[in-house]
Amino acid sequence: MEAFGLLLDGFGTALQPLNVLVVFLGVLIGTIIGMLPGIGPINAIAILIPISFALGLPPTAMLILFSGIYYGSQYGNSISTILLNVPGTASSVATALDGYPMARSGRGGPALAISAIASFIGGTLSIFGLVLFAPLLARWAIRFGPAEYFVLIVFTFTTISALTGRNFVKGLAATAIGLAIATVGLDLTNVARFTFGQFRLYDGFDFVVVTIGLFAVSEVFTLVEQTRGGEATVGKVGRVMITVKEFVASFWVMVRSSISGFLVGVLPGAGATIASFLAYTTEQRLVDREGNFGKGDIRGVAAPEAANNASVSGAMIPLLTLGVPGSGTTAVMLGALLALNLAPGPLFITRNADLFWGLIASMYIGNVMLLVLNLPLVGLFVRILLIPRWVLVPSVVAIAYVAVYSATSSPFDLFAMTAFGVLGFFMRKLGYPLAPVVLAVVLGPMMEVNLRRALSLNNGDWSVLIGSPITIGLWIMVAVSLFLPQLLRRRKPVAKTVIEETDADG
Amino acid sequence: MSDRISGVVLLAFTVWFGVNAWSIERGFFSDPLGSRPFPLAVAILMAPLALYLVFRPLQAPVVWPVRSLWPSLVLTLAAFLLYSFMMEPFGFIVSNVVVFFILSLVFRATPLKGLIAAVVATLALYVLFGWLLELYLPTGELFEGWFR
Repeated sequence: MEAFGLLLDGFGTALQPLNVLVVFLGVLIGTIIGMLPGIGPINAIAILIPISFALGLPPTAMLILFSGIYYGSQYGNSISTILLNVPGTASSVATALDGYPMARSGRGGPALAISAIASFIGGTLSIFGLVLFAPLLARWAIRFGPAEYFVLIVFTFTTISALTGRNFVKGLAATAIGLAIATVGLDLTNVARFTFGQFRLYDGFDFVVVTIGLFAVSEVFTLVEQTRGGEATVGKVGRVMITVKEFVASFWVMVRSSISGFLVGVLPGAGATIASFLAYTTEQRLVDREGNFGKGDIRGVAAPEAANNASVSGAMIPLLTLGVPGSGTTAVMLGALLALNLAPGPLFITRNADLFWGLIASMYIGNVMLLVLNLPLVGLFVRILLIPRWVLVPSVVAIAYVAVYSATSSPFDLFAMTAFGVLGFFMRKLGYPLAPVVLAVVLGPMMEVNLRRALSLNNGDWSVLIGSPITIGLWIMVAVSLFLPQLLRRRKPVAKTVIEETDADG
Repeated sequence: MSDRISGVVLLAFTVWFGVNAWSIERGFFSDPLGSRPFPLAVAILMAPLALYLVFRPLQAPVVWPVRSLWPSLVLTLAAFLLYSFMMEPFGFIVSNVVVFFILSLVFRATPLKGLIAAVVATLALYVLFGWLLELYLPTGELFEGWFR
């Protein structure tokens, strides 16, 4: 019952005018960017970090805003998926399997409705999971010392390398590239590394510059390649409603998918894409006796949409309780928290109770807002898809460059961002995943600091890295994460396609 | 072939990175590990990965952009570089109109439409960022004299 009182206090925080405003802006921006191909939540959050720092937004409002974008994008991504068969983000690829056939047979309205409802159920149910599991994990993680953190970060790297992109070697190479970028600048003993006498490199590369470069700038090059295609045309949506019968048929599908999606979200590297495919294939086996999945079955839309929304709350758990995010997007959020001098970790929730419970309450409010935005107002959003590329893309570019420049006043950062954009373009082309780079840029310094601290505390004796049951357990998990995906990849073609699609999540 | 080339590039980077990591000196107040081993370990991790890609390329087909698209891609890159170069001397308004216009042409706007969009969007962004959000937007070193 203690949690109930804390949640009430949280609503007190979340209902402050500024926080209501930012949660609304967050879910609105999230819906829009989720819908538009090419701008994922990772770009939107990275672009908004310098802006919110320049505005002096308080930490609670910032976290509410970024989370709103994150889960809001999982609502929006289904709109373009269903209507145009162009998934906004990789996590809605599974939604296209039944969503697009539904739209083509004139049932676009019900498809959009079930996707909003499933998103709402996934979003709200999973918040219970967050409330329930976050304190438990925090209590367990209190025993983590530097050695445990070091191994945990190794585990995060091996899982994300194994689970994203087409090839494990390339995933690891991407992680190594990120670690190399992270070493630039002064280290914890103020030794300058890879700065070549340039003072502007002493602070290292800002993770915002790296992220916007790798994801947003490189995406522009990718979009240039698609300029051949014609402009989008969106048919009439029709009434965005489902019948009671359809709701009843989908109800348990949504509940089950929410639970599995949440659990997958907790794992590092897995995230929304794997959650949605797992839910889809599971439900196909469980409920699809007539073989309707893939031909426009409403339950085939409900399952992935509930799961990808639920995975977002799951992904917040390692971020908030361990301070070790498992995806590109949560890594960027960690970067923002670190810049605010708020290092998440086992004590984060108890020490920042008002922030944590304010965030939880805001997620309930945000999900209700999203339901309203996505059911009656979806017709308005669809018009955004009609904005021509020649307005949309240059606007995104201008916003990204101005945001970075206004924060740093340094043309050097703009050049660096462009350079990372070119790097990102070639990495995409050659099948190197990008999310591990961002994760490594943010976690690299933490990894090194924890390793050096662990060795200092133990007088340079390396045995500290296998000195506790937790470290040994984590090393076993590292070994499993190295071999399991390779086996899965050989066995199942489905797993293979899922893994190939996973990267664009960030 | 693309994989093999990316492996060679990665290998060259690894060697360069490793050599530079080797030359890192120990800090004045140092811990048992020091500043050198971590970057060195990164190089040691990267080396076998790069070699693997050189000797066991994956034959994954890479779809490079068709030749007719390269001018557009180069123009896009030029627009990004132009933005970085122009921001301080010319200020936000001029650089944004120019870069926006170039990019809208890349995405197949007609010149007139592109120009209108560039001007309208620049003013809208100026109002949003400069006035509403009160962020710093450079006036441009060339124009600052006009306002003094």
